[in-house]
Parts: sequence; structure tokens; C-alpha cells
Amino acid sequence: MNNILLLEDLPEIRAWLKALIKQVFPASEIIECARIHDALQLVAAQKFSLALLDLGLPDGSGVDVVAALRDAQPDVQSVIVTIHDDDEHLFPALQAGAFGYLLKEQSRELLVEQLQRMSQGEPPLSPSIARKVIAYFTGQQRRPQASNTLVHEVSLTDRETEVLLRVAKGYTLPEIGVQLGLSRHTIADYVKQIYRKLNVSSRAEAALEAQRLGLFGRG
Amino acid sequence: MRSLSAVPVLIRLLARLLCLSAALAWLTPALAQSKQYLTLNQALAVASDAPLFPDGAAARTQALPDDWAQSRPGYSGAVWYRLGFDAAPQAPGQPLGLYINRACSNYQLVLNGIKLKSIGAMQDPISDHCYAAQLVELPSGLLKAQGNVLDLHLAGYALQRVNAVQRGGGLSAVELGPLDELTQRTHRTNLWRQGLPALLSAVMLSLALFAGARALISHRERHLGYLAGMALLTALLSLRFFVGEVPLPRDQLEWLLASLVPPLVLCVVQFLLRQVGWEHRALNMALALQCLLVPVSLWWAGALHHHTLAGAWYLVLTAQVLAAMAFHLWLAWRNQRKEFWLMAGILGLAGLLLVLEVLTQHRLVAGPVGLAAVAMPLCMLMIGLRLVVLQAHGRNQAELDRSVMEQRLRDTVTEIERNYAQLAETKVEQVTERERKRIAADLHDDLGAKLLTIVHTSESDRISTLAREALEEMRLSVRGLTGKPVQLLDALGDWRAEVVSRLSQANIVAEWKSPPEDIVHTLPARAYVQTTRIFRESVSNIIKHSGATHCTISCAVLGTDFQVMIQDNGHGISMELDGRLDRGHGMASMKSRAKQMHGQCLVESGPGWGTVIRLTIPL
Repeated sequence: MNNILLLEDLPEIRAWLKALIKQVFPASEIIECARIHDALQLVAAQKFSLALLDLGLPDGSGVDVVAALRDAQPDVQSVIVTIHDDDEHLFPALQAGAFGYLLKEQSRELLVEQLQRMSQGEPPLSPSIARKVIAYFTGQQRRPQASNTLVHEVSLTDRETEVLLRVAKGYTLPEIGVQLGLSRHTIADYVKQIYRKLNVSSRAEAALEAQRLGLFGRG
Repeated sequence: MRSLSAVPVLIRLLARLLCLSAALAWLTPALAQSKQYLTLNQALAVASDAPLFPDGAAARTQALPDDWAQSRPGYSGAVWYRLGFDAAPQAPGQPLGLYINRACSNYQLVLNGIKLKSIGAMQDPISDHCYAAQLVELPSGLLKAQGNVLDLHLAGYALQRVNAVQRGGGLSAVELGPLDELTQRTHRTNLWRQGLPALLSAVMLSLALFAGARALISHRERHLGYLAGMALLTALLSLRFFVGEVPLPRDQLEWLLASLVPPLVLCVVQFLLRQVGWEHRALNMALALQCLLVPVSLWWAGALHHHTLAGAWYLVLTAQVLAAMAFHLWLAWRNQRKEFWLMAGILGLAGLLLVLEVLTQHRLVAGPVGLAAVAMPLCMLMIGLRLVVLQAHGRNQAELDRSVMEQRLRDTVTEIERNYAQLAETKVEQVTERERKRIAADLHDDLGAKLLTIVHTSESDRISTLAREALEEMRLSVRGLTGKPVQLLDALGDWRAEVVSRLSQANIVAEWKSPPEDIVHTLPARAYVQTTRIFRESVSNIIKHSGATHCTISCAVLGTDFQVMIQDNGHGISMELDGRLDRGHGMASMKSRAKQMHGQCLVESGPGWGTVIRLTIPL
């Protein structure tokens, strides 16, 4: 049982991505779809081990599928496959629980390598995403509606912050590993933790926000 | 402050008038002591209506001045006085005058049997000349060296029937002296006794008009109506000083004059109280009732008890006015009104004069005749002047307020306009931003998808690479289109991450030197995009063409310039190949990108020397 969900609306790209996945995970079964609607039905119907999701689809944003997967099957790694490299598009997906992202136009070799790394638990982290994450957590500490327990539970550790700050300055993850005297694996764990906390914190905040709106709505 | 500046002037004016009155009061006896004057202070007196001195009647010797209230109490009618004098004391050829300080209420004069003077009515209503000093020229032809007989027929009323002691029948001493000097003295005295009251009543009338108009116009200044009433009634009451002929039986005139006093008191009291913002319904009623009660009671008491009852009423009314003054001052003091001291001065003076007047009426003090009658209007005048000044001040303040308001309005309008402009600008920015986003989305969805398809479906590596580069270009263009300014520090992070990871993947050792982290500069989105392209191009060149194993990238901020140096240890670009390679290496496009940013891009290279790219961009 090694199902992989592939959501992509362009047939050529979908075929190409399918070939790519086959190359990295030869034993897997790939379930394709081209619409959010279909993807959500599939998510509800069967188990997956990995999902490659496009962001811009005719009937909505792939972020919704990320969130649905995060709710229904928390263990599934959602990887965003997109043409948008800007954090405006990527950050919401990461907040929703995506584990990483691939830029579609990159060469096949690069994509294969990145996908392998992600499947081994090494998500990518660009300087601009790192800055956004830092800004998010700094801002959250100042936000009044976030409860203290929430901030305490999902606030970043000093090491995680250190890693983020170095990424933001343009250091690569291997470089940071050398600088901090940590193994590549440990650095990858920090990045995973950062993604997880971003997701947990964002979800909790969204829940609080919904509660607040609900209370005001009723009043 | 402005309102107070009028105060010294008013005080000085009042002080000067008081000095004048005092001087006149002292001056009169001083002149009388001159040797040229003869004062007759004894006469034969007999009560008679006869047209001539009744020689047969039993006359009695009467000292002058003769006050009927003492010499013949209760008598109203006429009395003949016979005065004798011997010598003409003046120099020959100098006309002789006869001066009577007071002949109340009317008189006729007969010298040596010849009627010299007869003015007005000698029967009720007898003409009222109580306040005016009288002067009669004695023709020298009628005068004898010795034994001149001067008969004076005086008609007047008993004190019981009149309001004030000044109006009761009586004759002062009679003086003989040089006509011209006595004329001057008469003028001076009458100016004080009649001219000034006449002037003041005219002023009171205008004050009444002024205050009345303000009371009518401004709802907030209704209390000025009482000031108008005060002034009007004072003017009416002042008529008695200089209007001698009133076609009204004397008793009725006296009753009428007395009836005017309670309304005057009402006005004074109400004005004083309203000015400090105090009002009481019961008091309003009582004061109005008093205006009725006084005339009715005087009518009921009749002429014979008029003086007594009116005097009693005056005491009561004076007490009311004094009480109102005290209350006004007390409230003004408690509320710390800024005009307190001015009002205290005016009211203190007025109160003093009132008390003096009452004492004079009861013959307890021999005060200057009519001082209160002059000074009281003056007090009102001061209050009136203060109102004028206050109004002028108020108008100035209003002008000032209006100009301040106008300025504020102008400021507000300017601010609104500015806000509106900002809003419009923001709106434009928002619309532009939305449009940029739409274009960006379109580019990604349409052009991006097509390029992507080419990237991944083309058989040719070259076409894939071109399509990939085109896609990157497109993305950068979109970022340049949508982007906000980028912090230079953040941009350095982005560039470092990309450059170092690409070089490392190509197994080239990268050495990155960044400026210290205290730089605060920002790069416009376009400059960020162009610089990113230059970096990308350079790194591509190094990876593809240079054969380098080591690359140093140093970035620095020097003055207002951002400088980048990219140095590799490859085999460089040979001179003869320069032209051809340039196209392939994109050197020209790098240079033109630098030029677009008003910077420059220099390439130094030689075979075996490696390549150095120096990029300078103004910040």
C-alpha cells in the first residue's frame, strides 16, 4: 500500500510529473486528478502516503486539499508543486500543513533529488520563506488574541530561530550544519519542526479567530 | 484687558466732576465775603396773596435764609418779604445785580414800588424754580442812595406736600453786588444745578436707547432692558431740575414723581441681580407689586402726608437698592467675576451717595444740593460705558474668533483635500496593485503553463533550457511589476542562497563576502530583479564556461553605491573570442541591465586570469 496523490490540471505536466514520481518511487501507485473537487473526494475515500499538489487549479486552490489532508490523514506529506516561487503563494500552503514545495520548471534531476530529500524528511527552506516564518512567530507573540498556552506550546526554540535566521541570511542548510556543529539530519529535523509548528500555530490561530468571529456573530 | 482700560478714564472723569462740585461749593461763600457785596439776611415777612406788600398787615421779622418748614410749617401759598438796604456798595456806573441762591418755588420782585421781575405762575400749579439760582438786574435809575425797599413775593408749598426738602417753600439770603460777577456766579451755579442734569438726562436717554436696543436684539442681554429702564426713569426724574412749568396740579406732580421711584428701584435691583445671573420669582412679583403699592398708598395718604410717607418709602427703597448692591457684589466675589472691582467701585460710590442723599433729606447732613442727582446718573453712565467697551471688546473677540474659525476651517478643508488626495492615491495604488496581480496571475497561468510544457516536453535540451530561462525571466518580470521595495539585507540573503547553492551543486567552491549587517538600504523591486538576473547570468557563465573551481563574491555598500564583485579562477574570456562569447555569455545584456539601473557593469578578463565582474548600482 503506497498510494501517491497527484493533483495537476495540465495533462502534459501531469504525465511528466507522474513519470517523475515513478522514477523516485517505483513501487507506488499514483492516483491522478485534475480538480480540487476530485482531490477532496479521493482524500476522503482512501489512504495516501504522499501527495503532490498544484496550487492554481481551475476550481480553487491546492491549499484546500493540503488542509483537508492534514485533517484527514495527518501523516501524509503534502508537497506543493507549483510554478509560483513567491512566498505569497507558498506561505499559506506551508501554514496549511504542506511539507515542502517543488518548482515545476526545475530540471528533472534537481526535482528528483529534492523529492528524494523530502521523502527522507529534508524539506526545502528558502530565505524569503524563512523571513516570513520569523515574522509570523514574532508577530504572533504580540497578538493579543493568541492565548499564552498556544504561544508557549508552539513557539520556536532558540535553535530553531537560529536556523531560521541563518537561512534568512542566505546560508544553505549544509553550511548551517557546519556552523552550528550539527549533522545534516539534525538541521533537517529543525526545519521539519519549524514547518510543524507553523502549521499547528496557524491552525490554532485560525480556530481562535473563527471562535471570535462566531462569538461576535452571535452577539 | 481692553474692557478695563476704560475704567481709569471713567474714574478720572467722575473725580474731576466731584472736584468741580467741591470747588464750586467752596467758591460761593468765598465770593460772598468780598467787600463789594451786600448780603441781606433779614426781612419783614407776612403771608399774603396781595399783589403788593400789605403795609397794614402784621409783619414779623424773619431771618434769612427762611425755611418754611421751620418758620411756617404746613403753609402753602404766598409770602411777602420786605428787605431794606441803604447804600449802593458798587463803584459808580457799575450795574448792580441781585442774587438769590434759592427762591422756592416762584417769586416776584418789587424795588421801590416798581415791579422788576415776575416769571411764571404764582398760583397752583406754581412754577417750579426751586433748583435755579436767581439773578435780577437792579436798574441804577431806580436805586436811591438810602432807604431802598425791596419787596419779594414768594409762592411755595409746604414740605408736607412735596417729595424732597429742596422742593419745600423757602427763601435764601439775598445778595447785592456787581452785576457781571453775579451773572457769572449764577451761570456757574445753574450749570451745576440745571445744565449738568439736563446734559445727563440727554445722555441717559441715549443710554436707554442703546441698552434697550441691545436688550431687544440679543436674547442673552435681556437684563440690559433693566438698565434701559433705569436710564429712562432717571432721565424722566431729572426733568424736575430744569423744567419749571408743568401743567399739572403740584400735588399730582409730586405724586407722579414719587410714583416713578419704585419702578426705578425695580430696574436697579433687577439689573444688579440679573447681571450676576440671579433671579427669583417671588422677588419679581414683590418689586412689581411695590410699583403699584407706593402710588396707591401715597394717593390714599393725601397731599398733607405726602412727604412723610414718601420719605418712609424712600428709606425702604434705598434699603432695597443697598441690599441688591451688596448681594450683587457678594455673588460677583464668590463667582470671581473679573469685573468685580470695577462694579465694587461704582456700586460703593453709588451706595455712599444714596446714604448721603437720605441723610440730606432728613436734614441730618447739609450735603451739596443735588449731588446725588448728578452722581447717580454718572454711575449708570459708567456702567453704560463699560457695556459699550465690553461690546467693542466682544466684537473684537468675535472678529478674532471668526478669523480663528476661518483659519481652522481652511486647515480642515486643506486636510480633507489632502486626505482625499491620499485616499485617491491609495485607491489608485490599490487598483494598480490589483491589476498587477491580475496580469501576474494571467502570465503564470497562461504563458507560464505553456513555457512549462515546453520545458518538460521538448526533446531538445537547448529548447528546454531556453524555455526554463524564459520562465524565470517572466517570473522576475512579474516580481518587478508587482514588487514592493526590498530590504537590501533580505536581497543579499536571497542572492547568497541561490548563488552559493548553485555553485556548490556545480562543485565550485563559493566564497561569499557580505557587508556588515547594519545596512538599512532598500532596493526598488526592479533593481532587485535586475541584480538577481545579473547574478544568475554570471553564475550560469561560471558554471557553463569558466571551468573555475573557486569563486569569490563580495558585496559592499560604499557611500551611496552598492558594489558587487564576482571573481572566478577560470580560464577567462579570450580577447579574440570576446565578441562571440559576449553574446553567449550575455555580457551585453548584463551591461544593459546595469545601465537601466543607472549603474555600470564592468567585465575584466584575460586568458588564464579568470574573470572579474564589477557591478555598481546607485542606492
